[in-house]
Amino acid sequence: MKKTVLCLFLLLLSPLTFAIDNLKLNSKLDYTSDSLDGPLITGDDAESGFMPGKPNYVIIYGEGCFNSKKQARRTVDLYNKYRALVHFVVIDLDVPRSPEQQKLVKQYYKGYIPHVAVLNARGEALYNQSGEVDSVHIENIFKNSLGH
Amino acid sequence: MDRDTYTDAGTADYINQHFIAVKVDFDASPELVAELEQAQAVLNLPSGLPLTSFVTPDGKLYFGAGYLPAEHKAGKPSFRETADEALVLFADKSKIEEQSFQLKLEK
Repeated sequence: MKKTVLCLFLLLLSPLTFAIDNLKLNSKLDYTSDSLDGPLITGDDAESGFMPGKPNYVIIYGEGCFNSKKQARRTVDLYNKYRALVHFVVIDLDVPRSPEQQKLVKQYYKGYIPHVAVLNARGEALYNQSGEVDSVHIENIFKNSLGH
Repeated sequence: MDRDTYTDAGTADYINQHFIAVKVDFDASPELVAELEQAQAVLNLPSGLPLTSFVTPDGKLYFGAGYLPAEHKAGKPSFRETADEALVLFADKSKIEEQSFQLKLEK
């Protein structure tokens, strides 16, 4: 009983522990050029920031950007494969960000989109680069971080 | 925006009347664009490309947006609506002091 109460109390105190879920790629994206097709990725609790305790994949993108669209597609593919093991953070620069996401923007964003960061369970950057990045490269970082 | 916004005569007249317009080519000045994008991101303003920044004469970026059409459409404010908001903000120096990003200036 005490444990249940404690868990409920911790959950109430920790809104950041809610992870973005149900990520979906915008099916109307045009991958041939820059264009405004709306948010690239949608999901529940899309305002979440860094979550300790597991690796985090962070994508920072702009909606009109051709390269962001291609990285968004890779991101959703990675999410479908690693959702149980990795926390995904999706930051859309075209809309106001939550305070938790702004922390990541200030820490990692250097002005070029898309930007991808992979953080370990303690929040240390294992990958932190602007531009598109191959999924295999990110998967290898995930596997190393997860001890696979 | 070259096709839809800056070629709109009303918008162009409005810009010339109220602002000094500076057009930055990302490919020619990637570092400047990165600084502008980072500034808007830090201020929790829309960032990305295209980018529309409003900057004070002494180099403080205080307001901005991404793509702005000539007319309000698809939930996006028009260039004119956004620029009007920028002018209102510019008149309130205390707000600019409160939230702005000092850009690196070249002499």
